[in-house]
Amino acid sequence: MPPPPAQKAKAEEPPEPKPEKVEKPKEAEAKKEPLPKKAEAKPEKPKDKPKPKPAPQAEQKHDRNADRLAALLNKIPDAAKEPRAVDAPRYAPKRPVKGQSSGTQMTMAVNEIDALRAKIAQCWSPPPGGLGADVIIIKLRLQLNEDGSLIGYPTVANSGGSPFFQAAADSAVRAVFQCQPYELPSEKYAVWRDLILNFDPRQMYGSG
Amino acid sequence: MIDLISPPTLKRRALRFATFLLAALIGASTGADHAHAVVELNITQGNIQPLLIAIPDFASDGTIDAGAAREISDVVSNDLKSSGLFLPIAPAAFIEKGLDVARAPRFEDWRPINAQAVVVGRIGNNDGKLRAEFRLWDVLSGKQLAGEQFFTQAKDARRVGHIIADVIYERMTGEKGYFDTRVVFVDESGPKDKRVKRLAIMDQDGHNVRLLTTGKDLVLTPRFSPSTQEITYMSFEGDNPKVYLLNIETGQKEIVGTFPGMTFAPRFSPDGQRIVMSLEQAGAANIYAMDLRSRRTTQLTNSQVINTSPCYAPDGSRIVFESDRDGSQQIYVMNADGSNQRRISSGGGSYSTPVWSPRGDLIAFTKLSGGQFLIGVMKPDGSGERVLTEGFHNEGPTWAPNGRVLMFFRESPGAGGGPRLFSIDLTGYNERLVATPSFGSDPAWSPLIN
Repeated sequence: MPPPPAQKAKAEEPPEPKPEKVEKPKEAEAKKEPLPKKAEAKPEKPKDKPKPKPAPQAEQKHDRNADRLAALLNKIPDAAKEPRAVDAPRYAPKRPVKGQSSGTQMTMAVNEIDALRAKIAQCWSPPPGGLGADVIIIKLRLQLNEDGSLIGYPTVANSGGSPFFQAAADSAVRAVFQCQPYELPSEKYAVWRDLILNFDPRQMYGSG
Repeated sequence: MIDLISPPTLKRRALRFATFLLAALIGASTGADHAHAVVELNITQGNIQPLLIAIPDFASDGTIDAGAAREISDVVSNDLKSSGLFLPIAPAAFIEKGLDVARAPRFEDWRPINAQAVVVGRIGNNDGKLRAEFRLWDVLSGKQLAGEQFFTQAKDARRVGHIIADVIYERMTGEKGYFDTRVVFVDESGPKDKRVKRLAIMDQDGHNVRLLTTGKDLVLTPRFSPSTQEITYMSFEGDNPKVYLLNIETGQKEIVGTFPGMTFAPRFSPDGQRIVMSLEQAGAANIYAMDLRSRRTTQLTNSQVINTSPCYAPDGSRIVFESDRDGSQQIYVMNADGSNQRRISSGGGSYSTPVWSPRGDLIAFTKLSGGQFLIGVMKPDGSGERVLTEGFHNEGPTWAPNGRVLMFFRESPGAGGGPRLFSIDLTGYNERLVATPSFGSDPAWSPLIN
């Protein structure tokens, strides 16, 4: 019986040295002395990958909204008295029609919505075909100026721990940045000032 | 499809709390403040484009030749470009020059040329070792996405480039990279009727080709060990094909077991501890697993037909193989102990060389249909069959370790024709010729080296 491979003659050449990762520089400004590890050290995975943070401005906006909602919540007793009555006529499921815009019942017309999502879809280049792409949705909150430009930085409103989620969330943020300014009917600014975009790549991947 | 979640829909879908909150908002807004609901859109379509990335030449810190530093950034650039998912911007378009790893780029200089990411690197010599550091920046947000430093032997400069490209690929796509890998293949030279076939190994980008056998004996179907620097392959010495193990570092080779008949189509188990292969006896071929330590073999199929091309699932629990037990060659899956054998291929034509993806979700195969050989993938239950490429003769798919790129070989017709290696993305796009010195066939992709 031939000897098991574990007992084979030793390599005549030393095994090829592996490039070792020694240090992960933290910040560009940080001036650190390199700390070489042993030659045998295997490269380690970077531990502290930077996570996208909403720009301060966006955060402020978000907080302001929360404040406004909180303030409104103080008036809940009033609101609770007749929520249906107020709500029903305002939000009756009336189909928005082209060009519709009037007063407080103002909604986005179907063609306006179509144009907006088509534009964003055109700008969105998600990382293609990652494993797990079929279970990921990225929810972005953004606010727009009246000229259709972004206010601050979009906020990723949900979370997912996977590298793919992070890469996909970055791609969604890039998309809304690149697409701006958005051409939307100025008289409906109140309607489109705050947007929630659910980026859902599932249908794009025919991975099987 | 994309649908607008209009306020009523939003409200219906919302939790009770949210409904309450919305009602509160509306109720309270009967004054100066206009109620406004948030428009919510579902974006389900995108426009997948290569990511525009700027990779200025890596700088030398003065201790090495500028050309040596540039070679590493060239490797990074070529790797990322070859994936089809990145498009490096031509350096002539760069506005900012003289970038420095110690500071952030001037992002306002990179936005006008549509760069979405910038890679800055610096290479130096540290006591005889090559030091490489790099940073990956997101142009829109100004964030640093990655930054690492490596020390290595000067002769491994290209590998450092591959490793950096893997880090960038992983950060931007969310998937493992595959650039720091090698491919073993059969180098074919000489006229078509008198081919010399030698085992060869190269980096995944076609560099550093090295021949592993002399060409005296015909070699076929090399396969990488997932855990050691070993390959297994089939060699005809005389008329009798046998399965060999070869250490690619030392060049030492040995026959895997001594059997009465021919052995062929060997492949390692995912843990590298076993080899699964076909053993021919009396006109039938059956699949056996051999433990490499004890050399004990276990018969997994037992039928008077040809059962061959076995390949483990990445978790080692199942084996996919081809068999002609139903008349034509088809793909079957069984448990690793040989139980529960069932056919998964169901389209027209015949199927062969099934290979389980390293990420487990798909099985690649060669299919003969309508006089053409094509490469396709299907799910392990046989559903979702897709063709990636077709033509006169395509054969022998092998997966990159991240399970999203395949390599295969394509034979060109005619007296002067021969096999060439190609890579293709899982989506069926980005088919590329992999340059080899002569004709090449039977590629087998290594795992990530480190």
